[in-house]
Amino acid sequence: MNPATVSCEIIVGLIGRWHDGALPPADGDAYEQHLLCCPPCLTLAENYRRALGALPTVANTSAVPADLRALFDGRPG
Amino acid sequence: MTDRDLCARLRSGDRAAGAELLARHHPISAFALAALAAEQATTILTTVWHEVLGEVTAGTLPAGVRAEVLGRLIAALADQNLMDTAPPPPPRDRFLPATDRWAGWWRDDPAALESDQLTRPSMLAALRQVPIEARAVLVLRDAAGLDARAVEAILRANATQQDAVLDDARRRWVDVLTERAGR
Repeated sequence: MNPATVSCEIIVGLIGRWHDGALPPADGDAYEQHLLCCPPCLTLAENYRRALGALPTVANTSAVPADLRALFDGRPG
Repeated sequence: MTDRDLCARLRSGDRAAGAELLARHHPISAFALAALAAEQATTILTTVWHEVLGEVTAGTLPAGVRAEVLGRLIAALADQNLMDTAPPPPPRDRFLPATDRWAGWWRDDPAALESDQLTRPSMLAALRQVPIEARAVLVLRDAAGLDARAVEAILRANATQQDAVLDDARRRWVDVLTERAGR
């Protein structure tokens, strides 16, 4: 893969495997070199990293409903 | 303290351990419900939690608390036809077509996602643009942090099948978040 000529569409298709460290080294190098000279792809790659990074925190943060909390609140064991 | 320790303490009558199990695992179960159910079905989640806590207390829970709650939730939604199976709209074509001199390059530059745009409502709205099977894998693997083996027990899809849809699901989800950020 030539990073100077490979299209953004192909690079975007590699984001997930790059993120997981699953790209072969040559493809990984081409991916990274493309990002160095392509701000839109770099933006999308950064969006991907941010969104996947924030997902577990956001998904695991909310209040337990009162009816379930009441099962264990203030009652002797 | 591990879940196993908390389960043992709850079995011995320590109510604080039950509260801690809820605090650890209820939020992701509520998120999964909001992401996967076609409509509000909070009573299903409450029922699932009562069952699981009952089995923890009885010492008969077969798997980890998180995987067990999520598995039973998804099974209950499927049994009652409450999964959000409506097909999402097709993804927007973000790249120039094959007829263009710059085929495969961006039509419009993607907007940068800011941290304050990564909210629970925006994440859930974007998840609803991902097909349901892939969405379930994304929720279980990336949001709940379950490994492929635990997800296989819930969805009956092996690791290879999960990986095949997870890649597309993640990209679709980030695409929708990015599109919303640019509005």
